[in-house]
Amino acid sequence: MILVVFEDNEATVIWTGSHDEYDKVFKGNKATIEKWLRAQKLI
Amino acid sequence: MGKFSIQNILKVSSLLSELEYEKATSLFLELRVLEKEDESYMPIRNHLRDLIKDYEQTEWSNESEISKIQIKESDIAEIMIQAENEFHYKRKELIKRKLKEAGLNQSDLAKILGHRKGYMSELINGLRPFSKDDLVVINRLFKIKFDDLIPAFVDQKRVSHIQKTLDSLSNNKINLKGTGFELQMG
Repeated sequence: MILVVFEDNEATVIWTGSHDEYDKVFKGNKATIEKWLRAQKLI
Repeated sequence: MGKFSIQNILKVSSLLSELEYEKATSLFLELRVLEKEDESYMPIRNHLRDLIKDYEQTEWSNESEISKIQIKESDIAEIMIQAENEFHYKRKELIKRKLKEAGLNQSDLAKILGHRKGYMSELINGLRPFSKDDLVVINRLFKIKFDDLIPAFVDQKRVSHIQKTLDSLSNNKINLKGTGFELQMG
């Protein structure tokens, strides 16, 4: 799985991993995803 | 990493390691958010873009030249920068919470420490390192432990220097546990 930020003509890969890694990091819910993005200073 | 403190970035002429590459990429993405509020970050972000592109072109464009060591360095660098970002985030949240409990806000803290508002924001967001004096004041005023205020990460070069030195010391009574990775991450 890949998480990409698109802006203008650029794409930046933010995160990659397997489905299991996705579950482990993001726990399949929006709140955890938002917390992760904030902690990584992406939003 | 003083080299990547916000006021020094325009002076950086090239990225020298996977760690610097990860740091530059992380800052580049962080400034994507910040430049929307403050256009003065735009030239810094453009410079980071050039540094990142140059590094990718030199180090990552030829697949047959990418070594396992490079991939390992890249993986460690990624973990380190993520840990550093999380540290800054937790420190920011903790300071904000303590300020609120004390009936203060970030602007008040800027006044207390004698900083401009924008400078204070850069400190809080980890774009500049706090001075020792600032951290002591924050520790005393808000009773925040130094462990939560000071990022305890050791530079990669320093880690290899320490490891080499330890290996070269002939004293067999030395009893230190920990790999280079543990040294870096604490």
